[in-house]
Amino acid sequence: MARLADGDRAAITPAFELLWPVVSRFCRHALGSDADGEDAAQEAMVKLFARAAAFDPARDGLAWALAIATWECRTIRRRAGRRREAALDEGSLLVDGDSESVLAARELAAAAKDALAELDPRDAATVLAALSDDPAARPAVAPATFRKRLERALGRLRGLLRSHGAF
Amino acid sequence: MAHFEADIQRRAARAYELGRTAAALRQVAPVALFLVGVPLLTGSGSAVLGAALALAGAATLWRGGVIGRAARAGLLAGLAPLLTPALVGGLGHHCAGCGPAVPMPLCIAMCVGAGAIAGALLALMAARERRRLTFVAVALAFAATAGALGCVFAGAGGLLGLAAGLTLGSVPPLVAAVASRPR
Repeated sequence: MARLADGDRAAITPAFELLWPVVSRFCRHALGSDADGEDAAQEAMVKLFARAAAFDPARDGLAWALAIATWECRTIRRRAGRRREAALDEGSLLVDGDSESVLAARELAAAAKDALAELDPRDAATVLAALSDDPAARPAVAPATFRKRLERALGRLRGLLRSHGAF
Repeated sequence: MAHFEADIQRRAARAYELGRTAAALRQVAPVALFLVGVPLLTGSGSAVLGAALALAGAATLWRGGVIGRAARAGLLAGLAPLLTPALVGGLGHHCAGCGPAVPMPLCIAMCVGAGAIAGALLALMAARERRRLTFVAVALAFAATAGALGCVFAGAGGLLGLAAGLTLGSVPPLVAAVASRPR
C-alpha cells in the first residue's frame, strides 16, 4: 500500500492479489451472503484503490483495507434494508388497495412507535421480547412471571395508545 | 472466475489513476492560485507560465515517486520567493523601481534571502531521499520557476538574486548530507 501511495504502478497487481481474497472473504462473512459479499468486496476494492494516493504509510495497510470493506458492507446492508422496507410498503398497498385504510394503518403504526418510545424501557423490552420469534430474546425469568410482566406492559401500552388517540 | 477477477482489477486500476489525478489536482490547486494570481497582480504577464507550471506540478504529482515528491516540495518552497514582491509591497516599497543603479535594493535582497531559504529547505528534504540528485534537480527546477514568477518583478537583478539564493541555500546542506552518507 505504501508503494501504491507513492505512485508505484508495479504494485497494483501484487496489492490486488494480496487484498482481493481477504476483502472478499471478509465481506462474505460480514454479510452472510455470497452475492452481497461479492458486491461489497468489488466496491471496496475500487474505493480502496481510488483512495490509495491518500494512504498514510505509517498505518497498517490491511487494517485500512478492512475498514473500507466494513464501511462498504454497512452500505450494502443499509441498501438491502431500504429495499426490504420498500417491498413491504408496496406489498401492503397491493393487499389493501384502499388508500384510506393504508393511511389509517400507517397512522396506527406511527402511534404504536411513539407509544413504545414513551413506555418504560423494561416494559418496552418485555413487549418486544414477546413479539420476537427468538426465544433467547426473552428475559431469564419464569414463564408465569414473564406473562405477568407482559400483561402489565400491554396494559400501559394500551393506555398510551389511547392517549395518542389510536383507539 | 479469473476473468471476473481480472475485470475487478481493471476497474481498481482505473479507479487508482482517477484517484491519483484528483489527489494531484487537490494538492496543486491552492499553489496554482498563487502561481497565476501573483503574476496577474504584479502585471508581469507571466500568468500563463504560472498556469503551465501548475499543470506540470499536477502531472508530476499524479506520476508520483521521487519526482512527485520533489515537485511538491519545489512548488511549496518556491512560494517564498514567489510572494516576495507582495511582501515587499506590503512594506510600502515598489519593486518596479529596483534596478542595478541602486546597490542591493530591497527586492533583490529579498529574492536572495527567500531563494536561500527555499534552497536550504529543499536540500534538507533531499537528505531523506535515496535519489538525492534527482530530487534536488526536480525540486530546484520547480522552486526556481515558481520563484522567478515573483522575482521577475525586480528585473534581471531579482532573477540573478533568486538563482544566487537557491545555490547558496542548497549547496552547503547538500554537501554536508553527501559527506555524512554512510559508505
